[in-house]
Amino acid sequence: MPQPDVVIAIVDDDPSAREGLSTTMGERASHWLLPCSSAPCTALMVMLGICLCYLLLAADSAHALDPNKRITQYLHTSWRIQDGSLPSSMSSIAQTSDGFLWFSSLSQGIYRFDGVRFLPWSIAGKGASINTTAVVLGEGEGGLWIVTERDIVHLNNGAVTSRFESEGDQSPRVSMGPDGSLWFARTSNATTAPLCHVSDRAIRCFGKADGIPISPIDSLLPDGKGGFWLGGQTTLVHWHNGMSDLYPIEALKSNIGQHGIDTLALGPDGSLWVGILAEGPGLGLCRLIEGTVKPFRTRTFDGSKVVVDDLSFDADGNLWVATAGKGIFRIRGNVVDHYGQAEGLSGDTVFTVFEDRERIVWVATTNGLDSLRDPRITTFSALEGLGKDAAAGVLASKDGTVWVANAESLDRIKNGAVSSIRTGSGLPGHQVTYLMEDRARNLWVGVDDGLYLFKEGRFHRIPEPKHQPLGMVIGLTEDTDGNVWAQCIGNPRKLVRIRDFQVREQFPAPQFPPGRVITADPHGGIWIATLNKELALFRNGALQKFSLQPNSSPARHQIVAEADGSVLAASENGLIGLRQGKVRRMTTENGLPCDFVISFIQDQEKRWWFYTQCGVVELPDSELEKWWANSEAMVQTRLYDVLDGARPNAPSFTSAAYSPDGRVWFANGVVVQMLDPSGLSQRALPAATYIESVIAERKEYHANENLRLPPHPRDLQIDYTSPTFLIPQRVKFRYRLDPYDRDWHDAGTRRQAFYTDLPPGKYSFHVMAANSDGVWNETAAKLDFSIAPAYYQTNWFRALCGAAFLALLWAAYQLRLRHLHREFKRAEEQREKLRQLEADLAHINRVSMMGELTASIAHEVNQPLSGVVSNASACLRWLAGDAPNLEEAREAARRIVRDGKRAAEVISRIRAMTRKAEAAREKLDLNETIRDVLALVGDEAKKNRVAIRTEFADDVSPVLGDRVQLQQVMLNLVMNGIEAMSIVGEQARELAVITRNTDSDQVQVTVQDSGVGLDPDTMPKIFDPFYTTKPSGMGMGLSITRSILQAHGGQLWAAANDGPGTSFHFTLPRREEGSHAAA
Amino acid sequence: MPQPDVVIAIVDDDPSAREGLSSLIRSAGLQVETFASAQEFLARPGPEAPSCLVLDLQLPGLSGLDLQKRMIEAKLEIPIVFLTGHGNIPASVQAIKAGAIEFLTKPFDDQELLEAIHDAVERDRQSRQQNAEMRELQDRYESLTAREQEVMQLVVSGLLNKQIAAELQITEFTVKIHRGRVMRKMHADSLADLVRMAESLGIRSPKRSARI
Repeated sequence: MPQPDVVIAIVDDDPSAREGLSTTMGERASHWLLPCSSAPCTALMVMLGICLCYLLLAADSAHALDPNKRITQYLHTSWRIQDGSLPSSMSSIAQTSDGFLWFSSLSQGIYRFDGVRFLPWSIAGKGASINTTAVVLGEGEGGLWIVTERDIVHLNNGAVTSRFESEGDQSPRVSMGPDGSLWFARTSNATTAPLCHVSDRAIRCFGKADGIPISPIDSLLPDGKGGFWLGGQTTLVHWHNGMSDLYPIEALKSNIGQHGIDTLALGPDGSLWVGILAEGPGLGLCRLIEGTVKPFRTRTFDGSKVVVDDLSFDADGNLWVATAGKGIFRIRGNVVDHYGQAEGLSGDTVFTVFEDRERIVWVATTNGLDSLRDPRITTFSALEGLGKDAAAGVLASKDGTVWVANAESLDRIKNGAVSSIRTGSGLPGHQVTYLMEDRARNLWVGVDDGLYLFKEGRFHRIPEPKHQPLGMVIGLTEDTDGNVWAQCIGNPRKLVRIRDFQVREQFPAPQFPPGRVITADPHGGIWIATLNKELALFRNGALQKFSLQPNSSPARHQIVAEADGSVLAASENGLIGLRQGKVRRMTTENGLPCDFVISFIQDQEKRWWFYTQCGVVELPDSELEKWWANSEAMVQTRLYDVLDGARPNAPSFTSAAYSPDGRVWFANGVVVQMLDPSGLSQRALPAATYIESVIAERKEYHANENLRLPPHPRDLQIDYTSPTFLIPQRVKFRYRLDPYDRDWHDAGTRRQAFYTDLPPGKYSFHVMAANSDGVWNETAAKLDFSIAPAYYQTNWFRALCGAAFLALLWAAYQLRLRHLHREFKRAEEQREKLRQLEADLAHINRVSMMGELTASIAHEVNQPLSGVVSNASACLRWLAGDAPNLEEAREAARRIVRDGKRAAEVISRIRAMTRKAEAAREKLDLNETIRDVLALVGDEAKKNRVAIRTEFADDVSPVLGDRVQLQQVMLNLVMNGIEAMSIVGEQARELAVITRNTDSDQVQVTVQDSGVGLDPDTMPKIFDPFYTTKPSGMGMGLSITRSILQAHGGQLWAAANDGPGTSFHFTLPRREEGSHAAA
Repeated sequence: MPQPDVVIAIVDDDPSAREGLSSLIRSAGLQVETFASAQEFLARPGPEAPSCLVLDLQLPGLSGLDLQKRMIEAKLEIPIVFLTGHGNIPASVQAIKAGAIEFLTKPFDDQELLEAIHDAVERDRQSRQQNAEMRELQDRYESLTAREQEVMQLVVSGLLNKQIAAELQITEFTVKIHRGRVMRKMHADSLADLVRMAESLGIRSPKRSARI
């Protein structure tokens, strides 16, 4: 039915929504847009948590808070605004299915909490931010609804899936439908359609026409059957099937215009609880009983005295009541427990109470945020009723009572209730020292300097011989024979045997070793931990001692003798073990978490429980046996530390007990701590892991799929988290970056991964977490991202670099080529110069040779000249006179001509030899060439009385060469030969010059002398430049000779003759017929 | 002045020089024999030695000086005119010392050479004459008996007859007989003549010198 004051537009065609509505309102349901209203919202309180059904659905095996415990026994953590540990008043709390807790701050928007930090949450995308003053949260399957003054936003995995404009309600009440849709009640006075349903498609609002008789609605609660309980300003309404049952509240009659029923809760037993934001008769915390809303009252609690802000049931059916000004109450049946600022709550005015999936109760107060969780180790202190926080000993009697030896009181804990027998009201003294229950269930109590039997509420002092007090009892045990032994600190210190409640024997120090704790041996006698660092067995009047290591502390606090004959004792240096006379210690070196063992006890499951300075240590018996077998063995232990509630302290008297209900009790000198071994396992939910963001080069990127990061991030930080709240300090992570890491990195509790200088490429980051119980959730969170290559990491750049490199290489090659060319040219010039130099040298050599030959040459010229002169004279003489002899004259003249020619020839040879000419290759007859040379040296040979013998082959092949150079070769060799022979004595001086063709197309010339011969040592050196055996020689002759021959393609070598002297051989290639001379 | 019986030997290994020399010497009317080496000259056939040897200093094998030495050793007293292609002072001194007539440097003046050859020929002639007298004297001396030769040696050493007799432990008379035969056999006119002959023969009195 359209309302006259609303603009109608039907936009929702969602059949499921229509169906949902039809169950609620029948066919009268219509589709509405959210009407605009300017009515101001006055309510400041925010309500949440009506969706209990949903919570129950989501519940799992996690343990709830133990309702038998007092709230004070829960572990309480507080974040206070004044400490700066959280931003502002957190007025509503929700938990999304991914595990995160969401808080709405009164003025500062939304915060997401992962157990470690509050992360301000801005709605990604669509450019909107939540900055309105009031925010309310509602979580549904796979999403979170955020209702603000202006917007209704549906977030799913951090992304906005739908968004609507809101009308301006300041603090609407919300509830979630099972399909994840949102119901909200509008608190604004002006509206006529106060109940709205929001899906991702549309908003529909319901009012009078739909059977809702009230407006505005201050609270709403699904009834679990499709209908709603609605709280109005004056009345409670049950709206179902389009109809409403009204339950007016008498005390709210005049409340119109004010907030009335502020919160509603439905108990597991079906009871409806009504919270009214006002106290007074008929107000406060009420229940609907038989159609009437009445305040809830017990013997100790009056519901009308509290102003209720919020009501919620936890998973165990406890009702948590958030009050304005009185903290929180927990109601179970008729038991009401209270927790307020006096107990440590951050504030007494509480906005809301919220139990999360791990059964942690979150309390949002005006001053901060509190969490309450049930620790594994429960503490009993004066807060819980102990006489004092001075619990010196604990004893669990067989009837289930746990006795606590305290100062000024003997305390009893039974069924979680604590009671005390105090000094002045029954306790015969001030300090209760030691407690023991004998086999007859008599309770023996040491008080001050006496020993008492506690029976039927009365203390009976054990009679003392000679009325001398026994002293302070610090050890009690009953042996197998029924003797009770007491270790007493008196004057003197003594051990006392009691039988039939009478002291029978006393064993005073120092005759008897002063002892500390004692225990009965199962096989008779007692064990005493002595002050002398011994364990002593006192059996049948005999004392057997076992010394502990002298440097260690004595076994001071507890001693236990086992049936198998072994003895265990607690010491400050570990657990002492004695078996078969051998003493051993279990210390941190064996894997014990700490050395100071205060006390210990074994439970029915054979597990050992050690109360140590770092907490309670669980040690399976098998591990202890392992240690018995090998004192060096490493034992596997489990530690329950401060985070589990342990509060180790120094002990004073007995300190461990095991109660028949299976619980382990320790007294630590201050409080009593209890641990239930059956309730230890698997309390934390599997830790889901989420990758939050990637910070590259100080720029943050949201962890979206296929994230692309800019090139070359020097520092890369990946933030991840796991929303787990039980013991966030223990949540551990490990991560791996594929393909960069080969294995998982253990990050410990660190929630960031750091990488430096990652090369470009595609990466996949995996991270997983272990919850506070150390259980790894193998489902790792994964983030794929890629790092873009920097320009210098791209292929085209590499290609460019390659090209540049090649170009460089090419340039270098060209440069080198040019350089080589230049070098080559220079070398060529050098060679040319060298050639020139060589030629000069050869010329000099030649000229100097000729110089040496001057006499011989002069002779060679002189001979024919002499002939000429003689012949001319003869000629003249023949012609003179009367009868000239013409014939003779002609003959003489002819000879003149011949000799003149001969002289000219000699001259021309000399000129040829001394000419400085360019080398010229011509076809040469070696015999003739050699003859020319021999013609010059004849006189020299004669002078040295050397006979020159030639042995020329007639068919010597022509060679190609420079005549002058080859003559120089011959000249050098011949002169060498002559010189070699010039100093020999009387033997024949013959120089043979032999030419012949060889088989290998060469012409060989041999110059063989019969001289002094060459020293074999100098033979290899004779061709070296500047090597000489002559005092005046330059040492260049043979060197030049060799270079000339090599330049002609020939070879020169020397060999000793069979007889005296040396032969020099050289070869020259034959000039082949038809081949042309090459210059 | 042709002297057809005079033969000049030329030893020169150089054919030009040899032939020029030969022609020149022949034009002076002398007979010439040419040799290319010292060995060839030493192997020269014929009993009569040449009157002069024109010898080149530089020869293959035996040099000119070597040849001169050999000839002295073989008492072959042929006057030598040395020729050399280059003025070699030590060699020329040595040659002259050893009795060379002349040492000429090629090319030489024909007159010089021919005069040297004439000197040589003249010296050779004288030498030959002296040699003939000496031979006769020798023959005479050898015709003496051993006692006569002893007596002659003592006579020319200036001893009186009786001194000689005492020396030889023979009678003075016997000395006179021997002395007379010596004078006769030696064709000596006087004691002075005999002393000159003894000097030519190189006779000394060994006993006397031993006595001193």
